[in-house]
Amino acid sequence: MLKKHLGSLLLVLVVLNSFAVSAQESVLRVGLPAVVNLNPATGSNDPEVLFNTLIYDYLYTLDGDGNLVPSLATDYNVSEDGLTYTFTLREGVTFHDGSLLTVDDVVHSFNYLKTQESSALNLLGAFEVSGEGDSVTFVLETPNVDFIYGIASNFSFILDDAVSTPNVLGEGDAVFSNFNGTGAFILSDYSANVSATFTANPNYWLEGAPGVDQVEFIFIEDQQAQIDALKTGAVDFIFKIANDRVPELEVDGITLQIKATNQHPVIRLRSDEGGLGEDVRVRQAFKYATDRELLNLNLFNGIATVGNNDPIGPLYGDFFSADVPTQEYDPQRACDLLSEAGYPDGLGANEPITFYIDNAFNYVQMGEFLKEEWAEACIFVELLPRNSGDYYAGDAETAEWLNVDLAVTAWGSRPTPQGYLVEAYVSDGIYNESHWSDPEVDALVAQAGSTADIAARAAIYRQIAEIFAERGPIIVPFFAPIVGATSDRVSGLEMNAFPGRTDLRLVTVGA
Amino acid sequence: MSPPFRRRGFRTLQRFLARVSRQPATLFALIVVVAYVLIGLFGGLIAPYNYNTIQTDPNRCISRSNGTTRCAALENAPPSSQHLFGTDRNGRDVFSRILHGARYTIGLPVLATLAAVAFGTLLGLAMGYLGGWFDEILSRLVDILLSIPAVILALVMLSTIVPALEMAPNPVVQSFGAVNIALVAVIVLLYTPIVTRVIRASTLAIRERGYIEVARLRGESTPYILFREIFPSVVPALAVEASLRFSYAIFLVASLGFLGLGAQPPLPEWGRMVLDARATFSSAPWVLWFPVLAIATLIISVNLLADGLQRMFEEEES
Repeated sequence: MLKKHLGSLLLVLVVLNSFAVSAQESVLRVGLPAVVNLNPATGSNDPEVLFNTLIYDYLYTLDGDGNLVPSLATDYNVSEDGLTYTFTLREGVTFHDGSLLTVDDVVHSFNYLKTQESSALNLLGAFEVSGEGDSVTFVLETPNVDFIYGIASNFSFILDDAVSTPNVLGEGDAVFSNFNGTGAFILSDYSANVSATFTANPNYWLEGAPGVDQVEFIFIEDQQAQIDALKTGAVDFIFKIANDRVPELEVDGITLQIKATNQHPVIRLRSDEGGLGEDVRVRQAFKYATDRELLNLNLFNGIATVGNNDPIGPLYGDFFSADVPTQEYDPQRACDLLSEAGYPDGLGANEPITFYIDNAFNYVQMGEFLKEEWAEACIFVELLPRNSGDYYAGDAETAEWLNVDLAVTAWGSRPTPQGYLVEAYVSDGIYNESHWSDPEVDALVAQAGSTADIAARAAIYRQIAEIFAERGPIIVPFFAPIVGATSDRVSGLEMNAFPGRTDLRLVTVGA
Repeated sequence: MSPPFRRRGFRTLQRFLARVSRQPATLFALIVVVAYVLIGLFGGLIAPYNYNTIQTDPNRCISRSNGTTRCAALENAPPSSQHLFGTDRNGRDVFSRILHGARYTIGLPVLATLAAVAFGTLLGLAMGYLGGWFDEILSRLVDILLSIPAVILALVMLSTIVPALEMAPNPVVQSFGAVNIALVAVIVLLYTPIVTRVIRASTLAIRERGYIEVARLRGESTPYILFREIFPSVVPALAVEASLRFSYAIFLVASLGFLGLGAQPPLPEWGRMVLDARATFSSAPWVLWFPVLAIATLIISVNLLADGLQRMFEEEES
């Protein structure tokens, strides 16, 4: 009899205990696709980067607006010749195993990027790193204004120099090992393709962080399943929601997170001799013929960022020239400009101009809207959607995207804006798809490339944006949004434009 | 056309309709197919809107400093009295697009099937009647073509023919469109071997009949024997085969449209409409339902008609 009641009592105690634990612990549950590559130097997609940002820290990181923020380094300075960067390391930071962070760890981390041929090297360039006391010194081979963005790149985590191979997944009792970082969370459980659990690092250096006791990754591949999980309260945060699914999440209890990326379509005209856009009036006519605001409403229900005429978007913080005037939709003005340029009946009136469209994202749908509104502005086109594989195939002489007269090309987000300008908009750019050549822009881009001061560089980018608005060969109708969603029990979460860089350290979760 | 011919043609049609009316399923299929053909011919005239006219939503407008106001598309509106089948993601009337799209979805398969049947009949008659090395060589070629999966061959051909045609534009390409020409070429290449094989088999059976031998002894020319003596006997098999090829051609055109390789936007080819509607299926399923329903009813009807024809010819033979 006593035995029987003892069993029941134990069961009740276990249940009560579990309630007590769940009542005490605050857990942030993230629904996301499974991680595959956990190498901090090469794991590149959102889940992989987010996984590592919980465990590791950067020297410098980027906030939600794309601005540099100190992390394990408290400050840095650059020598006058732009070749030497010196960082001061934060004092008293410890790894999860209790060992103290030293400059040797930083030196090891950046040399590790080299051994792994990490993509961070694209921004860091060639460098040598050394450390002494609390200072870490990088000596560059050539001046590189993007170097500091390489320090804050997705891959530039600070690792423990005692660990030769970080983030090792195994089998049996040692499912995971060597996940020893300074980050706000400690990996405490991992089940491949199922879940990962991170517990708060009690010794974390940032005051007030971490804001939750646990972060749990629940690996869900299917987007509909992610949405259902959020709606039913099984997870608290999901991201990269397809635009057409956004209306499903406009319900009570869920908060949408919308950020502008720099992923954008470029509507470009060939502007060299004999090209469709050789005459600047034709280029201007296209700008007046394109209703950017209405496209945003039609394609994104208004949640995208309306673009202008240059590729530098709001993702780049200070470098984004938001106040450069944009041509307002004015079909009559476009018709007049075309008439002045020698097309009294409009462009393509006798034989429609072939409008090549990279069949990516919602660009074909955009093309259908453009065809109609351009027709009102005396520009007549026929759409030719091309599979990306065909559109980008070939070399400089044969590739459609580098040679046709009128096209839409997809440009993804880059770590810094300089890359777009150097690759596509200077006279000798390797991807100068519009064949545009403007000596003033060439000079300004070169100047920006050697200006380390952020404010001075922003001023140069503004001049470039003004030239693009006046006579540039492209239209950027919008910068695509990226959408995430949180349950209303979550506070303090601001999704990053690259969701993998979302800072979860100060996020709190209510009941 | 002389009066006796006209009378004979009318009597044949009367007899055909009388027999069809005894098969309710075939009669129903015939009515549906004829209705679709009429829609293909005149759909554009009876459609309430043009296929690319964007209907606007007065609740989502932008007013500008120059005094103008433009409104966003009435996207994914549900079926109503104004838009019988609703509107699509670009605010276009789905009913009008289906009526306009019938021309592309039915017209191309009709054209391509006729060409494939013509080539296949010619080759099949010649191979079956002449035999020998001519038959051997062409039969192996037919075997090779039949062994290649249809959709893969279509994908490869379209991805190579279309760019080639676009790079070297000429008046024909400009008139008919590179994609349309390529689609017809693909269907002809895919279905000619099948028709060839069927007609060859029928011809092999017929050429041994006595009246063919008599014609040969009479000194009739080979073309005469092929088209005046053998051809009328293969017409039943040809009619059934042509109906089947037509239904497969519709399916292929719609499938390639769905893969984005057929008619280019904004043309309202039904397969392309299904592709475009896929993204909004969960929020606006009607945009997907109606083109799917149109494709399904047309293909099922053509197949029912083919079955009915086959039954009728079998009854006639027995």
